[in-house]
Amino acid sequence: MSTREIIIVYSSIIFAIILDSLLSFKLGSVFFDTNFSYLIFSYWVFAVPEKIRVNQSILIGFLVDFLSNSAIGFHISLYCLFSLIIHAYAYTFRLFSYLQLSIFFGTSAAFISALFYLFHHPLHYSYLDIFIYWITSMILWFPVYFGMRRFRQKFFYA
Amino acid sequence: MANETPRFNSRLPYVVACLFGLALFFLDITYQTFDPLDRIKISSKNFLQSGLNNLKNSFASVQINFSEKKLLINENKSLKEQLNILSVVAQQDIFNSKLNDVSPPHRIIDFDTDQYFCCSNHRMFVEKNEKSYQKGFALNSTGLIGQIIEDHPNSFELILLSDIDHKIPIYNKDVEVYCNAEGSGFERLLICKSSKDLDKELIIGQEFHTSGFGGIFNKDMPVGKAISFIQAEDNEYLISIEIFANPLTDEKVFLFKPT
Repeated sequence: MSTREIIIVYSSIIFAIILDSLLSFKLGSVFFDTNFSYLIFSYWVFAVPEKIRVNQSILIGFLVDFLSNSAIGFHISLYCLFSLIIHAYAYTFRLFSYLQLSIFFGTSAAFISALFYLFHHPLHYSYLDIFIYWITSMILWFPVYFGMRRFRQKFFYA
Repeated sequence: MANETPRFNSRLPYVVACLFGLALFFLDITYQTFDPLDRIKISSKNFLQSGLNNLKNSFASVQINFSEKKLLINENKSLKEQLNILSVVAQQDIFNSKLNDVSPPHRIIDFDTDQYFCCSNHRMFVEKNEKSYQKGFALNSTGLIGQIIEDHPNSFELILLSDIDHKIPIYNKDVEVYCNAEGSGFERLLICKSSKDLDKELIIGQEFHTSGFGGIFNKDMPVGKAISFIQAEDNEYLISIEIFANPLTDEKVFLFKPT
């Protein structure tokens, strides 16, 4: 990866982490949370799998671990796992419809979130929160996908 | 027979990376190996936040200087400040402490409200001023909110009463219950475990105060009131206590050394 590409990918991940911290809120007993950092990471792996390989997955996972409130290693292992899955089915994903992509990426985002609460805050583990999180992530995949695609076309290959 | 979908690289590095990540995760969760890294993160974040706050304040004050409402705004600000101090002084009277102990308030640099609402770590970072504290408790205009847990280079880290790792010795005079109330991890909620045989009707609504044991909190500071009561295993009773103070109301807190 060139320096320019590294700057673009990492700045988008940092922007996603800031968005995650800004866009979570509590409404009644439900806590709304987002996982833009994973959605944007997975978008990059999906869009440019030849660029985001294992080293970048480790570094991005570490960055997310360091800047968010999770234990070091949590996002590294999960990002590497999902990076492996996305790489392994890179061509299959090309055949997926937008809806199928949103289901896969939304579900994996919700899975990461569920594991986060399970390991870090088991008292706050709530099936309702996870369900809402799952739906939100699937819906958010669309703006992330189209927004990032435009961003990539404009800046990544410029 | 169809060919396997071609991959960009082999699976082995990913598997090794996953195991490496899991090993780091295990070390951090079990032995807190990366705590120094966390401290660096906190210090740099607070430094940045404090700088941004100062920049924002100086920008706001420049704006105010050009405004016609300067006097009114300043007066309003100072009245608010005095009101806060008066309410803390009033609390101090209740706690039988000396008035001289009231130091200038400490501005909150960072309070992760996401963590406060979603999770069990309820921490707050406040700016340092000329006074230094090794240990002490924190008040705002609504009451007792927590204690100092760590002295960072540019901030004090406060652990709130509701944090899952926090314990506070409290008691109730009327029903003679003494316990080490633990933070529940939920906003403004403490759990008090007692082995004393208690009457539910009697305990609900009772106010709990600090017992003065432990050397951090002064005696008889109001903490909260009992809102629910259940019998757990081994004849132990769990009393849920709603904390009086709300850490979200003020942007400044007062720190005190125990007397």
